[in-house]
Amino acid sequence: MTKTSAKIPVRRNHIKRSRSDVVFDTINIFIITLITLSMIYPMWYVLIVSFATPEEAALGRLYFWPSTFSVEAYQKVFETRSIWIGYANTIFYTVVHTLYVLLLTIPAAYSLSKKQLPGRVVITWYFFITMFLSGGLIPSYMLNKSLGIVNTRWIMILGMGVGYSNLVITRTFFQTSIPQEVYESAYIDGASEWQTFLRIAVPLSGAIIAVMALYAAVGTWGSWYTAFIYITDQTKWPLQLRLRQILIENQTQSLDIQQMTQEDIEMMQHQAFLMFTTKYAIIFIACLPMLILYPFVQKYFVKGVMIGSLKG
Amino acid sequence: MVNTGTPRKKLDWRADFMKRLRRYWQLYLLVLPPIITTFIWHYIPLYGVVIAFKDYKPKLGILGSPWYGFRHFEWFFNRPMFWQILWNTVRISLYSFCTFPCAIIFALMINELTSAKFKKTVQMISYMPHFISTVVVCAMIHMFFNASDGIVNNVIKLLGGEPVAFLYKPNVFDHLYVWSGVWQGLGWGTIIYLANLANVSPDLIEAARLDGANRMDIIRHINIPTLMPTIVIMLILRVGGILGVGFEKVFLLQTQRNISASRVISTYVYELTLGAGGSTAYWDTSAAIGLFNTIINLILIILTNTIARKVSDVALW
Repeated sequence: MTKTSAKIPVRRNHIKRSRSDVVFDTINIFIITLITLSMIYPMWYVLIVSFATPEEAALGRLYFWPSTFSVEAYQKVFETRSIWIGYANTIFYTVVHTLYVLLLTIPAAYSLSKKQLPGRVVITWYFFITMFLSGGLIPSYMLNKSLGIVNTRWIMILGMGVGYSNLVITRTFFQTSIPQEVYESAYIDGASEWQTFLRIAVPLSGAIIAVMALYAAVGTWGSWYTAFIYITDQTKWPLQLRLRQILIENQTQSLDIQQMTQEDIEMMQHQAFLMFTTKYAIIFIACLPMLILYPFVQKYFVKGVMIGSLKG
Repeated sequence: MVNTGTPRKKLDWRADFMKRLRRYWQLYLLVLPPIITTFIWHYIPLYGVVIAFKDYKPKLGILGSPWYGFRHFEWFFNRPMFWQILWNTVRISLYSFCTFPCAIIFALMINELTSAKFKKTVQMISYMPHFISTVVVCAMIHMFFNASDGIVNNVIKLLGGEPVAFLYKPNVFDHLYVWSGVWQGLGWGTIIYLANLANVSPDLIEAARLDGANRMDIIRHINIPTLMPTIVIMLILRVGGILGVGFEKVFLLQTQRNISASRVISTYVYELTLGAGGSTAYWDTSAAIGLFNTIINLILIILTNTIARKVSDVALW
């Protein structure tokens, strides 16, 4: 059905490589290596700073490998309650919102994959329009206010829940990956549409459900805008909003630095340096779930892009 | 097929409608929940945009507020800030738009790699930044480009230069915004092109080589034409968003000192209404600003789609 990146065929070397080929390959590999290194270095730098001694990192003597390792920054992160509250909130929002998205997207896409459904085109346009026309900040705010979900956890869970592109990707999957004969034999056996959907389509579409779940989960994990606009109660904040407060607004007091400082000047300086490495440790901890999952889920994301590129 | 075999009778539309509903009600029910949520969270706010033409008073509600004509639009167009905001929005979008070929070039380069293992490693690493959240990417920019302890300034100092407060300089805002976007999206953007390049038949390439084509010839005459339809589609999608500079990243990179370059339509709407100095008095005005933005985007996407259809047969609709 789709080819994953790993299956891209390597050029067959039937023809002898000429001198110009060698030059071409050398330059190509050189540039690609440079680009790849520049992509990984910022992430690498975050990692090494978070594990370095505060003095070495904050005074700018660290570039590739810390001379001594330290977990002080991580101890500091573990003491910071607000981060863990945010973490717990984010996990909750991610799980529930992902389920919400799946329940809305998968059945609808199945329905729209049926070419015989009258009004299919109209319904598709109904969703397509949402890509280009939107009410904007204030009309949405007014709506959510009148629904009474401002400053509640509901605002992080409810919502439109379907994106046009996700709908199209899933619909294309149902049309191309499940042989039509399977459906037809089910109809002949007298199965209703719901039975066909639940007993045939869903069990055969684990891949697309995984893709959609991951898209929704990564989206929710990284989202801060909704919470930023609608949630003032900090105990309901998701992690990303807390990260913005600590890392971008530089609200250092949220790390309780006052409690830690001593009269000793050196100690105070150490605390200031520790703040520096702690920020990097926070970033690493915030990205950790993604980094752990990434090698396993990468292929699903690629698959999603591939199905999406088939014109539905 | 379910509906074959029954000869189509001439029915009046109501009976026809009822018949279809009876036959397909299960399918309609499956698609109903997202129709409802989309109606609530998308079409109702779309209706709410009428406050752009009203003197909105929260007490009177949307319907009760008196009509106000185009005066909100006039107010916005006559603000001295208007041209600055519009220029910032257009400039940032156009600059991002110019980086559009980066992913295509990178995909063409990856496609030329002969070692499958190296290729996989490059892909693995270059997709990774896509999974880092916007807040974290912006936090990294703030930290790396910090004037006193950021790594970029450490390097500048090491090379004997003077440290620069990058985030306080309006003239570097664009570069930070656009190139961090490239960093994050470059690898991910190649997936779709690489998938298309994988469909190029190896025989075709071999035949070209036997005819004496070198690698650049193959890229120019086989690989790029293969990518053309996808490029057009991606281009249309990008043009449609030309005035839709997202709120999130601009806002996260905005500081009091670079605001003259970083105030775009979406952040201005926030500033007027829900931001620190905002008030409900500007709700109607901000709806007008948002509507102005949407209409321009819509015109742009329809225009590009029409042109694309004429020129290349590839279009969104």
